[in-house]
Amino acid sequence: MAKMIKKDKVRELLDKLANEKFDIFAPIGEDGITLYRKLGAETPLLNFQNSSKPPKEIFFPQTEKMFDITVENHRLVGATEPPMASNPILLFGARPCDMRAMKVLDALFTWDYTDPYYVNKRERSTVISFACTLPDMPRESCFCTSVGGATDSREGADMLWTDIGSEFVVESLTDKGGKILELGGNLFTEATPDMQAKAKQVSQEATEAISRKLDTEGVKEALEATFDNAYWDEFSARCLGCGICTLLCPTCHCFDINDLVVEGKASRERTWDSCQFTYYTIHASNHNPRPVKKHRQRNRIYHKFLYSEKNLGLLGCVGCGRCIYGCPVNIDIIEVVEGAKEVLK
Amino acid sequence: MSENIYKPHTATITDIQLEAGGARPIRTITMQVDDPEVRPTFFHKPGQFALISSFGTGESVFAIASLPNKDGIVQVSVMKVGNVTSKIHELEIGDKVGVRGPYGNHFPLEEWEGKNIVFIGAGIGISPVRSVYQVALLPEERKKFGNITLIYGARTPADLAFKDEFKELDTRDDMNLWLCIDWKFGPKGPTGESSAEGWPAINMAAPGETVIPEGVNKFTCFVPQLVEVVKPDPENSIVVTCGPPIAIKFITQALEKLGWKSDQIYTTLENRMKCGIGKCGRCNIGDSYVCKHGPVYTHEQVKSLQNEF
Amino acid sequence: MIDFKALEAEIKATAKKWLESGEVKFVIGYEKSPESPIARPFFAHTPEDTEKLYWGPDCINNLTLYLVEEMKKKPKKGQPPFTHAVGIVVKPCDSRTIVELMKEHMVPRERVKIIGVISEESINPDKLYLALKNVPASQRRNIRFHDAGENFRITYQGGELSVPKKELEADKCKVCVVHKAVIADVFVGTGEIEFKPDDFSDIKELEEMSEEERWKYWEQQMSRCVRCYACRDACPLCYCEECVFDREKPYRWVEKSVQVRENSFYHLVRAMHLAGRCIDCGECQRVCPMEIPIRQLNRFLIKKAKDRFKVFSGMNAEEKPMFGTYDLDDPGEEIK
Repeated sequence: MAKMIKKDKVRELLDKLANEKFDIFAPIGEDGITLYRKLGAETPLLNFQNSSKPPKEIFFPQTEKMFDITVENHRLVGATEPPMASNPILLFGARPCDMRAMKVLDALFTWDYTDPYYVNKRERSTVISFACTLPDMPRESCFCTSVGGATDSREGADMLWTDIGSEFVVESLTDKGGKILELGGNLFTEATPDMQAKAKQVSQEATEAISRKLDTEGVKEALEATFDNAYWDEFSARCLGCGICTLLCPTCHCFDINDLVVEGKASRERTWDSCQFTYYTIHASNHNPRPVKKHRQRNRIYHKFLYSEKNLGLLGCVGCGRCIYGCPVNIDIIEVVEGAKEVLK
Repeated sequence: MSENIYKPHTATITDIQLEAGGARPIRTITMQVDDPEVRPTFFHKPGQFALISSFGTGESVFAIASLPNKDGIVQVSVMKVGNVTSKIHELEIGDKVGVRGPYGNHFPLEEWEGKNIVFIGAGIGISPVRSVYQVALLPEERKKFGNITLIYGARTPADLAFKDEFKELDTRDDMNLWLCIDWKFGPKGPTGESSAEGWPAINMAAPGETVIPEGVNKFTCFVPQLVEVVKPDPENSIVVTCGPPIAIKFITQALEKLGWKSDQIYTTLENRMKCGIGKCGRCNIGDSYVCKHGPVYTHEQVKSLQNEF
Repeated sequence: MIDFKALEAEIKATAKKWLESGEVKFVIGYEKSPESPIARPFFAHTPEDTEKLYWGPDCINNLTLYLVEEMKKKPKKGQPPFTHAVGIVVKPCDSRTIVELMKEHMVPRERVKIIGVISEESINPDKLYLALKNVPASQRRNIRFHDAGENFRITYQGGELSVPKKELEADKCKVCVVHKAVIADVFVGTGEIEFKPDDFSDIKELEEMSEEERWKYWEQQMSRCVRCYACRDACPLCYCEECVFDREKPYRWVEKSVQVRENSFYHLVRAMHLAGRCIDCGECQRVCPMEIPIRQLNRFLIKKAKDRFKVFSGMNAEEKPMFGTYDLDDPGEEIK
């Protein structure tokens, strides 16, 4: 059943999809890092270390206009939604961990109330995941296999492509994936059994190359028991209080809503926020429920490993390792969580 | 596509009352939702909150202070502390605001029939408390409950909100009213050795031993001490309290001293919120989202939450 | 040849002595992380803790950040002001930060005890990751550096490799002019290292661009900013009690919108606030997850301060801050 596509045919496929009005987002190299950008005529990266910023921004942009604020008689009087687009979106080349993270966002943004901005973009989207393969992936901070993921996880994807050298083995997982096969036509051909075996093998090799492990057994108990422990002071002492760990996290979803007036035009927009920022929780009275770094780091860890599961039924960490890789002072989520377990012992 | 959950409904301000002056004035703003079809959706239960927008400045969370109604009338008491609240204080009758809600859980008044209720408000915390006692004091509701006591304190006499209303409540014989202002903000200066005129001091070292002069129901002290002076009886009773986190802490301690159990004490928590519907993050106390699981909690529930207020 | 182990031993011994005598409340230094290839900040509170102190060319963080944090702490109401001293391990560049902080009265001399390490250049973590690319991830543990003349001999779990020092050198080190701490209580290490005059050739290309070209360049860079504020939070000289970019009352100076207009406003204002102060420790650029060349902005202003005001920050604690003085002979064509 599996198909394959030659690497040198990928651009041709993307051209076809662009003709079908797909907005294509794909990994692009920029000044030494990988980012998902809206694709023009350039060729996307086919081999890459995972992006610095997760592709969640395609569905949940860092800054998004929610309303235009309408003016009558020089007074701001109401909110009008900007029109929602309806053309299809293609996320090409997502890493499996990042698509597992979308499950968390899907649950959050439909938790009792449906978020129209996010859901609109999700419904319009088709996702082609790239299985992680050597040598670019996994990175030294990857630990997806410890939190239920896999280098070739199919969760949240419509297609899974596995790089076996000069071609990808292509597996369609949903009707949307089937549609891509249909649109690609003869660019996709049957994958030989050898190719399929190779795909399995490279995924296996990538899995074995994951060196970081987190034993999630007993984590919840440890966190529940250590909330007031001095342990949380210790490791957060070196925290800078910056927002790297949260802003680069594929499951983090906190946002701020603000009105702004620019050149006489008022609008309401939302922008990612971070629980690591002092101002995130501060009351108008200046009282702050989480006044110091310890509280804020602790909230991040607890949210991932305790609160998310309680509220959404899903672990809030997919093991992408960005918070480990990106932290300027090496606050390592695996070490922190394992450390909490040690404290309990 | 269904209704955009973030979209505020336009409402027109129909009344503005200056409730308290002082450094942080309080205004009660009454508004009516413009769209007649939307109006009935604002029927709320006491304790729920709404998000009010001053378009172009932002949106803030307020406890709904009005009586539940199907006419889309929403009343909130606004203390001038931040950007949005300052802007709201500048608005005039006829101005447009945005409103969405009601959100959150509510006080289970229906479960309290036959019980005595003690309402305790500190500072702007009186606003959510008021949303409950207003309902309980309605003629058809009042008979469902036993004794009703109301305890309220603010920083200075000027900071006391709803003065006219309290004058009226003071004349009612189906409830007891107790007021206080902070010791250290008395008119004789901040040194604390004196009380404000007409507001006698209490025995701060042992508030419970204060002898209440005949006919006096207002004192110079903090709300928790006033609770110890009043000594509400926990038997078959419920407390509804709200105020700054530090005040709530000491109020519950005072109540516990008097033998109150934590499941008899209801409070409404406030945390910074942006979305009001469990998406934007910031209002969580442990795994509990104040906007969804709250804002009304019993003190027993509060104690089970992570210690992060 | 530098014996990193020997330097480490000296650091440990000094820190231990200070903690035992009670001269300092704690010592801010580096420890080796179990997983990361580079060292991380560490606080030794007891003499036993000093065993964990580490030294190597991968000691990159500018630790003076934590020194300011400690100095900013205020006692509870009614309590006497804090007077305790703190020990700190500094590289030559970082020592200039302390001078600058003393100039600005953020760190009283008597409240800091400094271990100044005479060192060769630090490494660039990105370049290190690149050099380690062919080492399987599972073996990138227990990474240690050994001086082998022109090369670093890097040992890791189950192997070693040799990398030319020049290939790992952090960019800031290429233009460094101090190879010995400008202020210290104890110097660790020996050796005279040659000064290399800084000709600012690294920003020449940028300076020669037309205004339009330069704006286009920065537009592209600023478009990537995620506003994590790590550049600010990692900067020891960004110590304001309340940063103007966090400020919400009575109004926001910069919108939270992540777009070129707001992002560049943030970066340019921050750069201006550091003009004549920045000592080019390079932390802002190192911590940036989006690889924005923030140092270039600072370098540009360092050059301006040097050329026009004859100011070179962080060398002399007796000098007055550039923005704190006015001289009739100051240049200022723009404001005349």
